[in-house]
Amino acid sequence: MATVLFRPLTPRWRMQKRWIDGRPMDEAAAEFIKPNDRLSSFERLEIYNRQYWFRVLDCLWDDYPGLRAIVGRRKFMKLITAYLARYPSDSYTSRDLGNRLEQFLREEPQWAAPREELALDLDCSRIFRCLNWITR
Amino acid sequence: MPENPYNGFTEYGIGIGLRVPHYRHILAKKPVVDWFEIISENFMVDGGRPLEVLDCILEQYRVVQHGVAMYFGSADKLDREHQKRLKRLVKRTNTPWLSDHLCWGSVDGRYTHDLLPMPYTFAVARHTAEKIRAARDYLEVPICVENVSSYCEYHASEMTEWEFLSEVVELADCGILLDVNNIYVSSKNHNFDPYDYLNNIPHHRVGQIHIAGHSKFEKYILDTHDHPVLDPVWKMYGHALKLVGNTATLLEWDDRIPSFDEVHNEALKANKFRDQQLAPSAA
Repeated sequence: MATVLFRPLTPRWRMQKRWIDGRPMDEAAAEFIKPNDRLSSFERLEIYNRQYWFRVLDCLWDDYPGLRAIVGRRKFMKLITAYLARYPSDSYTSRDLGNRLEQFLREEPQWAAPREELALDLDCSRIFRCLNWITR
Repeated sequence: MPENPYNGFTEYGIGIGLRVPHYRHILAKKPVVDWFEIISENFMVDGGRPLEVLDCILEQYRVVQHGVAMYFGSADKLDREHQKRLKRLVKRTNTPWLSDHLCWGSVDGRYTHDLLPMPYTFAVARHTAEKIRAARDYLEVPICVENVSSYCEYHASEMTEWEFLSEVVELADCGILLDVNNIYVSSKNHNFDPYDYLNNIPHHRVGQIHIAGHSKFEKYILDTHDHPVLDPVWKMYGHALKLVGNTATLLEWDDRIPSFDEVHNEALKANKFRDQQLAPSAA
């Protein structure tokens, strides 16, 4: 189930239709999730997949206003989605969600194009993030 | 039956969740509140404003810790760093009991930051109870586990949710944080009678109750904590009080948080409701 949750949503914010082995996701979901009279196994699982992504994206959205301003809102969403797909949270607190964002930007600067240099100059982002946490 | 080993033999009334938008109001106006519930993980930090505010609150109010990241149902062992920080916070707040959820949320060291339902099997119940016991022994404070709201059920389950909850708390010898709203939400999502749930759990183990609002969608109900408590939940709360007695209750409001006064008024309503339910004439 965790593998399902960590898989990014489609551009329309839905669960992906195919499982990692190419099978229809309906089939994979039905193997372990019961349907009910209103929702299929796919739809029930999708609630959790969407909740996960909405939650973690929201956290980084709030934590990195500086980086968001540098790359723009749409690109920022794509960037943090790619980041979280590569580096899911490894801490009990969502406060640490962005811990490897700088590393990710160094590995894959194209996500911040054409402002890679500015984005990588993350001092500004860090300051914003710290200010956020100190004053919260 | 309000005082029991699972809430540290205390007799607390209606509490309110301590939330950031209310800090200034609470510190300036010092409203009368029986107790505040804090989310432990928000204060498991080395310093800064959260701890500064917490220390001010502790000077004036009673505080009970509620956690969201112990993940008793995860296959992983308890996170040692989390436990160490949690114990430090327990010493700071002197919480008479602490609570966390009967759920899983991490796997192989990766965290979902969600409260995921478990398959209700005897093997999972044993594993979960073992982790609760380990946490209680290390933290040296009574633990209550909270039933979560859920949107899916597993083929692997061998029993109902209330049977699973009862099995876990008996094996762990721990308390229950009975979330009445979560029972209502799950009952609608999984087509069971919420009163079967309330009637068939070990009532003597209930150390605390949660009430909250939820959101209705076309095909399911979401546990959003962004509304006042709705009528069916008040009704269930009344029934729960008759079963378990006058129990410490928290009014949860965690999203689209209104003014402190609005939350406080809802808590006062809960206080009045509880008194009416427990009055001898209501029996």
